[in-house]
Amino acid sequence: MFQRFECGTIKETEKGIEFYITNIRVTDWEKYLDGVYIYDGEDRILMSYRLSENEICATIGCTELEMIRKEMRFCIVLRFYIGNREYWCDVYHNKKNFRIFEKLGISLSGFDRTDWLLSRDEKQSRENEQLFYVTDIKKEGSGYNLQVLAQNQSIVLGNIAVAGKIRGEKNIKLLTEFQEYKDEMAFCINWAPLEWETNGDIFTDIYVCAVLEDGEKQYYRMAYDGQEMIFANQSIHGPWIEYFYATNKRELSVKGTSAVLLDLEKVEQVEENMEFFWKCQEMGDEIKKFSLENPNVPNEFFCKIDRKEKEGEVFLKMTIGSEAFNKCGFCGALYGLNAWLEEDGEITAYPVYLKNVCLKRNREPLFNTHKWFIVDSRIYMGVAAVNKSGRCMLDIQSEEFSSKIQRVVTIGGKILIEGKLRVKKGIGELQNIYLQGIYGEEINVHYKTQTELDGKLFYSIQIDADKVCVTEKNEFSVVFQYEKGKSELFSTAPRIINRKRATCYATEDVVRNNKYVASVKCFCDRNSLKVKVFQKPLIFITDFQNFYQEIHVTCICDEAAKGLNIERVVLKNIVTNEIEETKWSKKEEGLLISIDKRKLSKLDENNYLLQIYSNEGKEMNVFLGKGEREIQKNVKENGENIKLQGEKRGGVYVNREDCICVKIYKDNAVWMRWKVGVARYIAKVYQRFIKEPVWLVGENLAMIAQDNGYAFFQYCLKEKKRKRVYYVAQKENSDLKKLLEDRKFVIYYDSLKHLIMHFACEYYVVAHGIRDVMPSYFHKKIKENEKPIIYLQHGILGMKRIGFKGDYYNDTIKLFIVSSKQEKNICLRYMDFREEQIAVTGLARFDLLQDLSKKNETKEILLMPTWRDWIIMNRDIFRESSFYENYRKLLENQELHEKLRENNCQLVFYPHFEIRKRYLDLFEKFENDVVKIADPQKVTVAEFLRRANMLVTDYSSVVYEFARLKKPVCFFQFDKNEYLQKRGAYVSFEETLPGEILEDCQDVVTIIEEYVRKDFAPKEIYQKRLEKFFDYFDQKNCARTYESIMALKENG
Amino acid sequence: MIIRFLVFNIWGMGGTSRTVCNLADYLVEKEYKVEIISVRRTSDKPMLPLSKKIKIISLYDARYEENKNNSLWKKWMLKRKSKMIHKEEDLYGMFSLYTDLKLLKCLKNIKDGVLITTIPSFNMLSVKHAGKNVIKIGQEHKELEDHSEKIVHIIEKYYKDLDGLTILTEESLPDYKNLTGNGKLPICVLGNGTKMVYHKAPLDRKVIISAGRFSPEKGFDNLVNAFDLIADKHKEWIVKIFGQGEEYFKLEKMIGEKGLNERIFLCPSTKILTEELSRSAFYVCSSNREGFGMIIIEGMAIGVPCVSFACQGPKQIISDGIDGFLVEKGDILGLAEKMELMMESFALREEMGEKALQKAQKYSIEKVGEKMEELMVGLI
Repeated sequence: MFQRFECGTIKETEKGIEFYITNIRVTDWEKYLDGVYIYDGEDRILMSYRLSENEICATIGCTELEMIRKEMRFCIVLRFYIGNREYWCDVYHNKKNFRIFEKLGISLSGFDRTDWLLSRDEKQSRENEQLFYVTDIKKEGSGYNLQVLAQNQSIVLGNIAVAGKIRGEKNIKLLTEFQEYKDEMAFCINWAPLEWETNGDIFTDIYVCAVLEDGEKQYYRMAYDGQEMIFANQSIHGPWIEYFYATNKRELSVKGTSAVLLDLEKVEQVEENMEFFWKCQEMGDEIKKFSLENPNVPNEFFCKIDRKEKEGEVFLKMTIGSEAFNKCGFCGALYGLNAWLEEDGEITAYPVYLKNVCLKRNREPLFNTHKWFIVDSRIYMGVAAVNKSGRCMLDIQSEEFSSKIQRVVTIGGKILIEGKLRVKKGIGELQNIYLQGIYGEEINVHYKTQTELDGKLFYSIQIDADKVCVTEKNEFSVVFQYEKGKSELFSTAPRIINRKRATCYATEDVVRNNKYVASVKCFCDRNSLKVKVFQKPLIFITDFQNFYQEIHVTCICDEAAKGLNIERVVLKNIVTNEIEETKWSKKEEGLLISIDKRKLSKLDENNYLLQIYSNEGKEMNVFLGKGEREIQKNVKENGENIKLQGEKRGGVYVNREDCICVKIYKDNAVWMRWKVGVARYIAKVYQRFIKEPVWLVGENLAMIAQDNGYAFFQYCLKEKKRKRVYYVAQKENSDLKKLLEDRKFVIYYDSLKHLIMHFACEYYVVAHGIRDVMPSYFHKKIKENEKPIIYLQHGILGMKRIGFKGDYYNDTIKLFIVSSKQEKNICLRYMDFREEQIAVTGLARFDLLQDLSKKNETKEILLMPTWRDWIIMNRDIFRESSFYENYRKLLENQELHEKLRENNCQLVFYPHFEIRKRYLDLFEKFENDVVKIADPQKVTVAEFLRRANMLVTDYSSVVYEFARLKKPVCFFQFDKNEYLQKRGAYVSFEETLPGEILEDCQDVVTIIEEYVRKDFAPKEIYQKRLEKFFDYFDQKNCARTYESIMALKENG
Repeated sequence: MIIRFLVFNIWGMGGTSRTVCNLADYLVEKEYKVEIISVRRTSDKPMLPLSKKIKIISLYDARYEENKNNSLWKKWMLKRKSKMIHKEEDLYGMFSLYTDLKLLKCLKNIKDGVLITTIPSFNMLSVKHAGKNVIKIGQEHKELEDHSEKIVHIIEKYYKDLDGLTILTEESLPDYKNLTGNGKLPICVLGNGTKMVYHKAPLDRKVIISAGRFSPEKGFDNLVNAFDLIADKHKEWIVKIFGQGEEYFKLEKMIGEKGLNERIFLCPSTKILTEELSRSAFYVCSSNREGFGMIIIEGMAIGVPCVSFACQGPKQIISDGIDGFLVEKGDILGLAEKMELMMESFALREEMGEKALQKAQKYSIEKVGEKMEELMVGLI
């Protein structure tokens, strides 16, 4: 499948220039063509075009040509739509086209393979000034034969060789032996690239190295105008490909990379699978499997292979579809295709490059590969594409083609959705249409279908708004269940930019017993239609007044809220969720809220949401009406800088969701700025007198001293006897007593000393974040931070995805501590860290890891789930959730209780802080003699980890340290799929987790029993897996960390 | 000699900005030195590409980055309301004491050349503060009826001291003549000009297009009501309305309630309006008040016919039945009828498109630019 659009002919007409574009070897691309444009690097200008028999005639007028501003240089691009996907293809031209259009007064010349240069002046030719032209490249054995033509005979050459400037290396390296320059006009160079001896990819500029008569060596680039050539090479290192191509300046260059070169014959739709037919003579036997890979998806998906022989040719059939994949977590993404080859008993993956497809500027689709398949009973559509280097990619998305939603209308409490779609052949009959919510619930709807004359299926769905409002907030997708699989409701036509905003749906309010429950509305989510249940804004602010002692906020209630009885009005702390009541009084259409300023002054510095509670249990925010500019201006002007008692200031503002909030803050009063200024000067003087640089160490907003920060601090103090290392602690630090044993080295947060040390210090050494040691005065300017940071971390990356990046805090992270090479790779690959930022030393607190479990009288089994933010918010949702159900079943399990009693064991349940805060009572009832709920106030997490004999968790990263102490762990992952989709991980669970993965709580009971019997001896195969997570198993982690910090200074 | 344009925001997307851009481009090609003074700057690149030879100065850079570290003085000045710009000016809220001072300073520094100003308050300030030797040309970009009484008062008081005035339509010429003392002030009916491109729209897609600010005078609710009447008969047709503004929520509600959500789409403003015009069948202008209608011209320039209410601007541009349809203002049924005529016959659209192309020649930037040049040369 050779893929390239080329412009062969250019004609001049009265008003403009006509370009004739063809693609000789690929057919059937016309139906996907959407537009032909001129692209000048910044903007695209539409061209008129007409299609005829595999050829596009595109015309550009003179006025449009004038619009090309950027150096009068442009290229032609084609826009294709395959399904819902947009692709851009460049148009190439292979000649040094040079035309003068006299009538139009412009000249057009070919600039490089795709670009044109336009000028209004006289001839502007870009003659290639090269001396040497490569006219042909042929493969010969393990090397190449380059046919070269010499243009200028004025230089007399003695000997010729090929030299290359390989990427990364500064000097030009000689790649072949010198050959005698026989024929003055043309000669042949034999060259075997495998003599390069480099590791990894090669990008090399090729030079002809000539030794002139006087013995001097001269290097010349060679001009090349031919097509790209790709050759496969079996090298000693494994499969390898080499590309010869012309650079933008039409000079010959070579790219070499480890890859498998395959020829794609065709892609077919067979039942519910996509089948790729590969022609592979050379590699037939060696390819063991194919896989799809995407760095953002933690799993690689393996495709089934079949071998077929047909007329002497070996075909490899690759199947993509349900049976082929055996790993969970499949989702739509852009995947790269890998081929796995066996070498020395081990199977290694190599990217697959396509034969006859050259280097591109964009990712281009392979036409006629738009097929569908089913995985996990969901329908996906895939398109094979080629990326910029020629690698084979698979663009997979959930979508429908030929589906059109005709009408969505809300009448009398029901939402009616009508449309037509073309049912894919082979998917089976439509069995059911239902709504699927984000919490997993399914709601049935009434529907009617009818097959129309044109073969499409007409559907009419009726959704009862009242039935849908099971919870106050939800999102439903409309699922079409066919015999063989299911898909969501999509609309493919027409193509609208920003469809979510462009399509307007009506809202239906659901009212029960005269009281407002929720609102239901459809919305467009990337072309798929969803139904959302939400709380619409009910209370709107109409006036705001700032009086001497009070703040008055007048509001009106929406019609729908009339039935609700307002119980009280509160200010809710956004961070701690604590509430503070305020006065209010009823007014005709709404209410008047009076906030006492004295009360405000007593509140903590934070942001508070103004909320109104009804005695039906509804929490309503106060909204700014849409388009209400006057009141917004009023709040903006008068709501700022409200004076309160003391140094506190208040501010009333509108947050991102248009709700009215109140913030309390300490004004950085003049005296604070003075304090900072003074501290700055003192620090300057101080720095001159001290011999050792200052380090500030802290953890978790300076509220604790139990983690890596404290461990490292102790090491610096006791082992290294540093005099200028300080631990920053808040006055409310829970481990203050422990810290004050080293009183001289403890600084209180935001004291004058803290400010001085901030200016004077060399490094911030933190465990959780920069605010662990940064004075509050600078918290607003974190993005402009200049202090170099040593980030000790507080866990091991692997099971949980975090949104951290290497250039956070204004790119001041000098060192990021990790515990293993695997973790380092995760940081480099997913979090954009640079090599020099990562230090593999192991976490500081590992030095203090101790196992105290042997001393236990009663054996303890620690049960520690992590938190899931998608079920935490609502009490009802929590109670109905699978999380609560599973843990309830486990904690109540009679069989387990018996076993525990028999063996003198205890099950200690340690829920996450957030779960403890809200729903502790739901678990307390399970406490008995063998089941206990842990109290973190009395015993810390670290203590528990030391004491426990066994750990049962789901996705908590403390599990690695626990297992490291040679104690057994197991994983209770009943919602693994959901977790992977909602949170994501960096590693593949089945392969890397150091314990059994269990999905049913009965299995958990069985495993616990097993370990109890074996006296908590960990299994060898799992212990072995820990080696990936820890590079070191010793107690020298602090030492290594220290050394890395010291090494930083040497390296500058 | 430098030709200076004083506009509110050349980085924005209004009709005024577009026409000033086109004019400036034309003049610069004719080897004049052109400068554009924009009171406000809101983005890095102008919405329309401008020739590099044009110097653009902004008086108040309103971009977020530039305003992070404003001095107290600047902050205070930005909050104070403008004293020089008249209260009833449309964009009054966007001006402040800070822009006043900057404007004053700028105008005082202009001692020669040509100064072209685009809104009544600017015209007034030009008269008051620009140098004696400066040739002051004022431009009107709104219907006279659309101005409030007090603004008309300003026109009456100050316009006669201008050196030249350009207005949009023939219809309002006598009114302006009256207001400016019936005499010496050369008034030129300029209209707006657009570049003529080669591209011709195929008119074969079943898309109706309209664009503009979502505000009451642009009357998109008329379009929604009109389409509602014919939507069921023509199931394949859709309407795309490009723009943004305060009326969005009202329109959204209307469309949602009528169940036309898969038929009428409120798309965000786009730079590539020409491309969207080219992918449509015809343009509908349902404004309650329209001074000129630059977008109609732009559509006609690529052969897209227009159905419009007969406001001042469209009345002048469209010849009813030949290159478009004119409907009585507010007549929604009539609008729906004419839209249906357009939708049913491809041949009709093509024919009208041809004629529209010819009509657009009249409004090509060349013609408009020539007129402007004539006016200026006459005044030097």
